Amino acid sequence: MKVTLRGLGLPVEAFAPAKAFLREDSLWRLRTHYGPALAARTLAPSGLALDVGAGFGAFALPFARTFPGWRVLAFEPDPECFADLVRNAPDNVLPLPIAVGGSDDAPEDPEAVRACLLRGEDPTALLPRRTFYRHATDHGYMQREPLEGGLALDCPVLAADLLDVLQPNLLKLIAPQTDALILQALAHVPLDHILGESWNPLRWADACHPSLPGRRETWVPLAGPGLTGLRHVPEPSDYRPGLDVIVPMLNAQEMIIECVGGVLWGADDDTRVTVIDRGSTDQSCACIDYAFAHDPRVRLLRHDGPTLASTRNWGRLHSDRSHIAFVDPSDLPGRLLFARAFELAMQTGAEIVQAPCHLATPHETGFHETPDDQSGHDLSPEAHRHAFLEMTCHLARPTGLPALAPRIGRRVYRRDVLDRRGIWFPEHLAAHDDLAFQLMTLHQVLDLPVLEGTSYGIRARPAPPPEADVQVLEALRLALLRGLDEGWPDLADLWSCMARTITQVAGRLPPERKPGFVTAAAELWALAARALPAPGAPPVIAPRVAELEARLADLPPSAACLHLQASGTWLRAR
Amino acid sequence: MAAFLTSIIPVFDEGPLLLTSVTSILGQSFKDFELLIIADGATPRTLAVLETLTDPRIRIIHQANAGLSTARNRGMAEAKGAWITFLDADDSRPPWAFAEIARAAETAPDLILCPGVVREERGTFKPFFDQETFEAIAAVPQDLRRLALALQPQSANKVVSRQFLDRTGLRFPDGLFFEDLLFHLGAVLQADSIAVLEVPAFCYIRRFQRAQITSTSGRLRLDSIAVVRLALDHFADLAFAKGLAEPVLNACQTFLAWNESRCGHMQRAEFRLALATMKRLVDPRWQALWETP
Repeated sequence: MKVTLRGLGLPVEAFAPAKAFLREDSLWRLRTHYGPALAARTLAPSGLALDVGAGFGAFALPFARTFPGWRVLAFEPDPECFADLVRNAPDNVLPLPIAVGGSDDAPEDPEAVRACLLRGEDPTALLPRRTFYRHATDHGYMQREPLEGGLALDCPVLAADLLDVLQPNLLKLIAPQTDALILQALAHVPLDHILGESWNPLRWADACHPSLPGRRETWVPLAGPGLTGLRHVPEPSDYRPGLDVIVPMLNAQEMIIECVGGVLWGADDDTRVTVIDRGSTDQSCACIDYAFAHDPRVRLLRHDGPTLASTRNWGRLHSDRSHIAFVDPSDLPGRLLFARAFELAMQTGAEIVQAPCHLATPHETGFHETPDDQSGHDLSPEAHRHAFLEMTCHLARPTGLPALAPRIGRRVYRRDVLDRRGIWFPEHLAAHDDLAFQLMTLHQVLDLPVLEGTSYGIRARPAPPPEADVQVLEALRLALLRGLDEGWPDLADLWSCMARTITQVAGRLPPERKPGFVTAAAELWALAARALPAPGAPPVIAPRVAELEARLADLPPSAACLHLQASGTWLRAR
Repeated sequence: MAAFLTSIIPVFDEGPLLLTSVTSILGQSFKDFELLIIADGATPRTLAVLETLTDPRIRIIHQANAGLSTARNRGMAEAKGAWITFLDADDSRPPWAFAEIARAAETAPDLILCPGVVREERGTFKPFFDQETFEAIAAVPQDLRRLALALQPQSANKVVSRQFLDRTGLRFPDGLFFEDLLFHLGAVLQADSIAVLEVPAFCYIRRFQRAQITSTSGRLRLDSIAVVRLALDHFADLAFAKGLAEPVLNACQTFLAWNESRCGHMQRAEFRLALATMKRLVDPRWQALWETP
């Protein structure tokens, strides 16, 4: 039957298989993947495109029509689709009834095959033949292993590593069993464009790493609900793709090697650990030198900043990577955590990705399997688990912000998001800067990918000294102001976090500190409640809040907001 | 000889990102165009990129910084093409866009409307926000004008003829942000004939590292109220005469609701106050329609 292929400019009429799945699947992909991806690109006037898994030509035909200066080699082993492809092919499309295989499929005379390809001729006669099995109902699917009820087909196979002789400029990839092989085979080819769809775990670096030749503009989503996929747009940026894990260190000799080792587990050269010594008087620096002196992924810097927040910010200012994380030296990143979190970040494009976390036991030494997740993130029963390399992942809403223990170490952030939205650790806070950071960052996203199969171990840390602990109110005030300014639509979590945080800090302050803290906290709550719809105040401050609300009742919300902006009362709760 | 089509691109502080739009225009399969770049008080890093452009079809016009509206108006005044399009410096057009526009222009409409795609910050692609409206237009072409009023007022989705601009004097509102709505309503209401493309002809690109006017939460949002007021007052006679007052008002209300939702919490009170004031001052025919449930 005939169909109209639309999506790349002029419509093209084409013969298509009678079987609906073969036909509709390709049309869908043209409409949702190829068309939009090419709409965002500029191509050279001429080039060579490889269409692997060409079907009846749903990509090759409109592409060849829209880009007449290009040649397309269209590989399609399914005989039914190939028959239509041959009928449809214009002069600049060469249909090839060939499957692409691996090194086991090397021909007897590889050089003859290469020469044939370079002449633009069909090398079928020179290729080994292998038996494939076509799915009984999913007719577009063929595989090498026998399929129950499947139809055996004899197909010529071209080893993927022979493709590089063609030096293609564009690769369109629908090859469920050989996509990784094809990408590896073309690693040294100056590919400008990669698009298609994948069914297997692929690694970002194999397709899009900036060290690979060509522009490598890529859009290859993973089949299915489509959380992950290879994506890359080479645009000017202040950052190079990579992850910088900032580890501020102060007298951490007992734990720093384990921490840094955990970060580095499975990480390649695109991950760097930046340890920033804040004036250690023990053997912390010597430990770093001893364990990592020859590891180019680790660098040791020194910074004499007034606060931990200042050091974290300083580390960020000295980073040129696209992604960043902030880890406490007493924490225990789990197996492959940062290696996979960075990969997940690159394959989702997400502003933030995170791993589950747990409270590490005193004798825990890291590199453990995933314990129970205590992170409190929102994993609903309907959340879809996606395969992700050897792990899984899902998309979660950033709800259930825990009071205190903000656990930012388990997150990887996009640097451009933090910079564009001006989110830093508040320099002047001696404690709870990470709470402010967490509140401000998590409200920037509607959802975030969560890695499964590893976990971030957090060791219990002592509470800050009281004079620093009371600064939690300043952290909350800063988050509130940002929420007011940016118009955060859902503040329920923020109010909940405020209530729990105020209650917990009030509960652990010494008696002489508590009244001043309660007064300051009540004032913060009352002003915020004047500016925004608020729930009831927590019991520890409720009476004082009621009194203040009565005093503020005749003032407009704007007055409360202005006072929140202007006052520094909460830096030091009296 | 005058080009068939003028593509107007205002630039300010895009730096190397402006090559996104320029490269896509120079890569068009249809070659008969001029590319008019309005350097609207462009910053040094942007000027440095402009100096590298050598294609003879490019003309660069410099002016003091005056905003997108004034820059586009300047472009329209300087344009030599029979057809005029607009593109933001950090967006792009697919390679087939001008060819498709040229085909649609064969029927000599006043206005050509184009669907688009959006590339989200995370790198995913989807049809532009008004794709369903384009599909409705395709399904019910006799409702074209009414439905077209509901399209996103995105400047890149429309192509206007030189004759149409000369006849109507349609311009962008100088000095105001959120300027697209007035031009969009004016184009759709005043066009004698409208053609619609079937394939995307622009790509709106959202980036984390770029501040966009449309993402601001501050007082700039109040400009949207001024733009609506201008549009309602200017086109009241035409809208009511053509029986299109309701879709015009719907488009304005949608636009205002979106802007209000994007305000900061404190700015929302100001926004509502400014809107309430505007409703009391606008042409009384709109007031009556606004109050109708």
